[in-house]
Amino acid sequence: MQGCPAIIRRKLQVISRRICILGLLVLLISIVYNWLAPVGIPLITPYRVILVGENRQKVPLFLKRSSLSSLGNHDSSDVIRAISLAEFELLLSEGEVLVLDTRTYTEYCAGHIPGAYSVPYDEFMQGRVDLQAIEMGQKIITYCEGVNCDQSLEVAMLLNQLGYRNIAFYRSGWEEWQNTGKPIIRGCQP
Amino acid sequence: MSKLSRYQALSIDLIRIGLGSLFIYAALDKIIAPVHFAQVIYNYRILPIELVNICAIIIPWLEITLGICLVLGIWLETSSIVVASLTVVFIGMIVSAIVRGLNIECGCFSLEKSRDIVSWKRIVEDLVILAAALYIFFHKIKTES
Repeated sequence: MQGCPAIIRRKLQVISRRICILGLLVLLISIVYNWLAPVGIPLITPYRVILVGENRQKVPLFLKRSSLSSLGNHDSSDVIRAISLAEFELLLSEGEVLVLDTRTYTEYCAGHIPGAYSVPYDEFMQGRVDLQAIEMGQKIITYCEGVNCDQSLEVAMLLNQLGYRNIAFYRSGWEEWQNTGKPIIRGCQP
Repeated sequence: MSKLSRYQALSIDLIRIGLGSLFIYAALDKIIAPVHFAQVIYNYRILPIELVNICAIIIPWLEITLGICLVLGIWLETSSIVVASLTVVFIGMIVSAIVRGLNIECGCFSLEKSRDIVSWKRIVEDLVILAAALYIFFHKIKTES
C-alpha cells in the first residue's frame, strides 16, 4: 500500500513531462506553419481604437499577415469614429454625405440603404475601386452587415490612410437598419 | 487475456480511434481558415484581444497532435488527460456564452457557413467527449499501475 503514492507520483511526473514535450512540439509546429502558410495571421492580434460616442474601444482586425501591411501599424494615432443609427440618420439628414456599402455586390443589390454606393470590400482592398471622384474633404460613412463584420472599419481605415479625414463607420450596419424598419432600396442602383 | 478484458481493450481502441479522428477532423477547418477561427474565438468575448490570434494559431495544432496521438495510441494517458482538460475549457466557454445570451458560432467541429451556434446540444456532445477521454485515461492508468 505504501508503494501506491510513489507509483502515482512517478506516473504524474511522466505525464507532466510529456505534456511539456507535447506543448513545445505544438507551439513549434503551429508557429512555423503560421509563418510559412499564405493564410498565416499576426501572432498578436492587431486592433484599431474607435470612438463610440465619447468612449474609446479596441476593435480587433482579423486579417492575414499579407493583408495587414496595407493597413499599417496598429498603434497609428488616427482614430476612426463609430456612429450609432441616430447619428447616422442625423448626418444623412444634413446631406452631402457619401455612404459606402462594403458588402458584396450581390448583397448590395438584394437590398441597401437609400443613396448608398456599392464598394465591395474585396474589390476595394485589391485596388479595383476608382477613388478619384471622391474629394478629400468629403464626409464618408461606411457600413457592412452588422457589429460582427469588420469590412466597413477596414475600408474606413484604408481611406483614412489614403488621406480622407472625414470618415466614420456605421457599426451596427445593415442588420440594424433593416431590423428597425428603415427604408431600403432593392436593386443595384443607389 | 479473459473475454471481458479483450472486449475492454477493443472498446478502448475503438474509442481512442474515434475520438482521435474527431479531433483531427475538428482541427482541419481551423488550420485552413485561421482568420475565421480567430473571429470565432473573439466572439466569445473571454480573451483579451491581443491573445486571440495566438490561440487561433495554436489550438488547431494542439487538437491535431492530440488526435494523432490517440489514433496511433502514442502517450495515451497524456493525450487523453489533455483532451479531457481541453474539453472542460470548451464546455466552460460554451456555458458562459449561453449564460451571457451570446448567439455565436461555436467553432466546435467545423467552420462551415451553416453556422453551428452555441447550444446545450454542443455541451452534451462535449460531455460525451469528456467521458470518452476520461475512460481512456483511467483505463490506461489502471492497466499500467
